Amino acid sequence: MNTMNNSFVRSRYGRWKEELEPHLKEFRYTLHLLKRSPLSIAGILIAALIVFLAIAAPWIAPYGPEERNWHATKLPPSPEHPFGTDAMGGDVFSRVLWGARVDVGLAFMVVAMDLLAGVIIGGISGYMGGKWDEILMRVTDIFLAFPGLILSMAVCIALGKSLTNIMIGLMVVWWPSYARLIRGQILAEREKLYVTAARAAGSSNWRIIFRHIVPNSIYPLLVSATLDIGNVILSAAGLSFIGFGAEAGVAEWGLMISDGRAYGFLQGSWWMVVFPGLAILITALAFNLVGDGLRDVLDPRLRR
Amino acid sequence: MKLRTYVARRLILAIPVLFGVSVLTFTLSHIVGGPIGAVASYVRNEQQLHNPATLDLLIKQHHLDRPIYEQYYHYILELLQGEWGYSRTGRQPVLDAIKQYFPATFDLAIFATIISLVVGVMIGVLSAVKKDQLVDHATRLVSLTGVSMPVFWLGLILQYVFYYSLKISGLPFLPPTGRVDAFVALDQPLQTITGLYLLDSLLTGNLPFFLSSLHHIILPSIALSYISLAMIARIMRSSMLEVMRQDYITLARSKGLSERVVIYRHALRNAAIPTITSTGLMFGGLLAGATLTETIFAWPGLGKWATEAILTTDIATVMGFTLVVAVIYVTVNLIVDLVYGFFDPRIRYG
Repeated sequence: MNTMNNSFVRSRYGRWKEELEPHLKEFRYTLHLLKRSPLSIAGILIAALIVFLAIAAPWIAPYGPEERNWHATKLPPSPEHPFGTDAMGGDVFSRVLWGARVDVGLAFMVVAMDLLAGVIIGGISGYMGGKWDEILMRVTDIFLAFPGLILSMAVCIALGKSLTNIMIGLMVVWWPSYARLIRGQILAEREKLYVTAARAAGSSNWRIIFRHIVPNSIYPLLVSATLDIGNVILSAAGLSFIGFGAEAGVAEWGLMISDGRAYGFLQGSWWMVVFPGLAILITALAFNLVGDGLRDVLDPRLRR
Repeated sequence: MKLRTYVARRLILAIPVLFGVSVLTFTLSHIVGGPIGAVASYVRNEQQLHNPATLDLLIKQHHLDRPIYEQYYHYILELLQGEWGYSRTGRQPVLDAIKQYFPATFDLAIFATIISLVVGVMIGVLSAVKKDQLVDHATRLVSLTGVSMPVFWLGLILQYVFYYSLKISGLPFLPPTGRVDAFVALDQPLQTITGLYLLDSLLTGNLPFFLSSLHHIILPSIALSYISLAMIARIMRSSMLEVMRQDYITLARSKGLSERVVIYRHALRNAAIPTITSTGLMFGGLLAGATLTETIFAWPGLGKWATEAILTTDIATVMGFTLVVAVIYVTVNLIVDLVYGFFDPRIRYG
């Protein structure tokens, strides 16, 4: 009895190991490919640093996000204020750090919500097909034909100025592309031989979707989500730059640039505009580098 | 399928999309119209707004006292008749405002597209040919910077460098805002033919006007083209890499053709197809108004007009703008698909 049980355990472990082995090999190979691309490594490091700074801002930033010193307005960069001070005496360096919290957090939120919406809508559309597919895809067509930034603005205006509403405005614009992507993936995977094989072996629909199709579609989603973090930051900053979204005084990068422009940028006070803009650029660049690297590494056509 | 049938089918397929957009704008006008609701689209000035009698008249006139489906029916009917409401931002009927602002946007879009196409293709090909070498890494960084660039910030930096710092050092500088110098426009007024300043001034031989508008278009078109340039470079690079792995490239090489001929005659032509598609779509996007760029450079185009309108909840303008953009998108998509078939005869419409 005992020996039988043992052999059962061993065979089960053996099977598990056997199943896992190709995945591990694949993963090691991915890491190996990633290591060969210095730009991707740089991107990962910078993105990690930015996320760290965003989380640690309360402990690193020398001043609070809305702390003002009315005796030190519009000072150029100095050891005391490395990025200078703004028109209301706020320390630009601290505000850029606090801004990372706002902008990066917002971008993660928007992308996560849109992924969820995309998976649900694209999943229904791709798997159900037929009438549902037709209706849902026409709806995404309408949203895609609508000018993105203008739609976000309209939502922001309709709901009122605030960071939450910027987030909602951006979510409304971004979900159709995910729905499209996921639907396309499901349609492409659904016709593949391994799905036919799984169906022939008697797997249920749910098992086919979640054990076979989703894992095989996860990489394009991951790439697209990473790239979109940068895009969402750009759009959010753009929206609050022209006066939608963030309330006056909030340490948000786009708003900081807009304030800097209003208070003497073309009379020589460049630091109020340059540093927040660099923060946006570097953050978006870092996430784009990661996404780009991931795409090159994960694209099976370029892989071998 | 014949080309004519294909075009007809595509146009019919566009109807549901345009229908959906019109439902969306119609709904928007009822939500955002404010306390007086959808009639806000037809109000011309303060007096009308505060005069209940005129408001009632407008409501009657545009059937806004009818049930909602009848309102929608009349909305569509009026759209088709050219009554698009009154743009408070543009101080004229919406359709006239569009006619006025569209050429400025078109000028800028053409200029920016030419810059980004030429530079983008060059960078992309170079990057693909020298894959994984220093040039490739450098161009990838440049193109990634472009995709990650906040365009309004780039515009501001350009203004700072080419206007402010050149001006204070007493050098010739580029104008930071506007479409043409006001004094030039007063001195040598332009005869409007198409509304495109550069083209019109050339056609009428108005050289000072031409030079002034050329000066004004440089900074905004550079700011605008950087992003699309980066995208074109990326697409060009990846499709070049894809094509370079094909058998016919190996064949061309083994025939003993020089690398130059292989790259420019064989690979480039085939790799150009995806680039054409995306350039077309980008051009469509630029035509829809480069909201941020136009705002920064005070460029009197559709994007700036729409942004101002939204900030003042001028709903008629927003609705009109949205409809125009949807029409532009649908048209550009169709043209791109047709052009695609022209460049790649293997593609059959169907």
